Amino acid sequence: MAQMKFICDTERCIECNGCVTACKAEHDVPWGVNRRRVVTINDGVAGAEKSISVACMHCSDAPCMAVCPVQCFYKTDEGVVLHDKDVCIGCGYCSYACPFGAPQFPSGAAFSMRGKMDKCTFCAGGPEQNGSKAEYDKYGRNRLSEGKLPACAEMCSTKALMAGDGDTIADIFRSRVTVRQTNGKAAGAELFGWGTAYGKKPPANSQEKRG
Amino acid sequence: MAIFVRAKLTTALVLTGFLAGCGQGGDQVGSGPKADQKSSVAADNGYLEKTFKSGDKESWSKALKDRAQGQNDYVRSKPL
Repeated sequence: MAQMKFICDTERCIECNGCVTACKAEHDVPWGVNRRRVVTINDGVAGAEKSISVACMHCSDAPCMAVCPVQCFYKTDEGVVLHDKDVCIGCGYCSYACPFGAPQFPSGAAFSMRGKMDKCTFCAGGPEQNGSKAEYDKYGRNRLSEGKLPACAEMCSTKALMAGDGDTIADIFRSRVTVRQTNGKAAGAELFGWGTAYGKKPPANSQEKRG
Repeated sequence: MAIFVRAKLTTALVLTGFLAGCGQGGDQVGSGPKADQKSSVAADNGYLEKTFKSGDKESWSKALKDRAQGQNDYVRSKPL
């Protein structure tokens, strides 16, 4: 198996926040903590408004893991970045290091205003017995060990947000892009940095209209 | 003189004992994360999808790959 990944198809995301709601409900995430959120750019600009669902991207070379002073992070065989809340000291370094704003710090917890870090687990729980109450209380549901994929992706009404084996979801996304290009429509890969990676410049009007 | 040295040593030992008592017991900081079970080990709850054999990574991977195709509209819907 390749690595587990998320990908959000910006041509399909309708900013319904169903993924956010599914995540909060599935893991009983406390008030004030959002493991996932929907970000919209070019708000109100006709044809240029795009939304993207963001959470921990379970980076291959995760900066949060690199900066953690107590080494509370670990990576599963499937590339899911998880952490041990019994080791976390709530220092917040991971929050500064993460480019996606994934680490969250619940207030009113062990360290008052800055509790132990909480983030998306790719619905893979944490270092407790799979499916146990202790795991649920600390990290939420472990859907992977139930044979399921993350709730946010499985609940996405337009299937904009996809989760699973990186090769599998990349194939699905590629087929969508191919169909769109065949039909002369925007492929929808630009916002993911595809252009940055392959040298294609972003659409000329996207920067101008934003200002 | 010997009494004086002994008193100093005793004081040092007592102070060391006090300081040790002030430390946080059972501290896990710096020990790294606990060992975690593999994701292919079936969850011990009533929500299990019985599409794989617990502990068998091959069957678990296949179950998740099959499930991931539920996100593929081009597979779910038949062409017109």
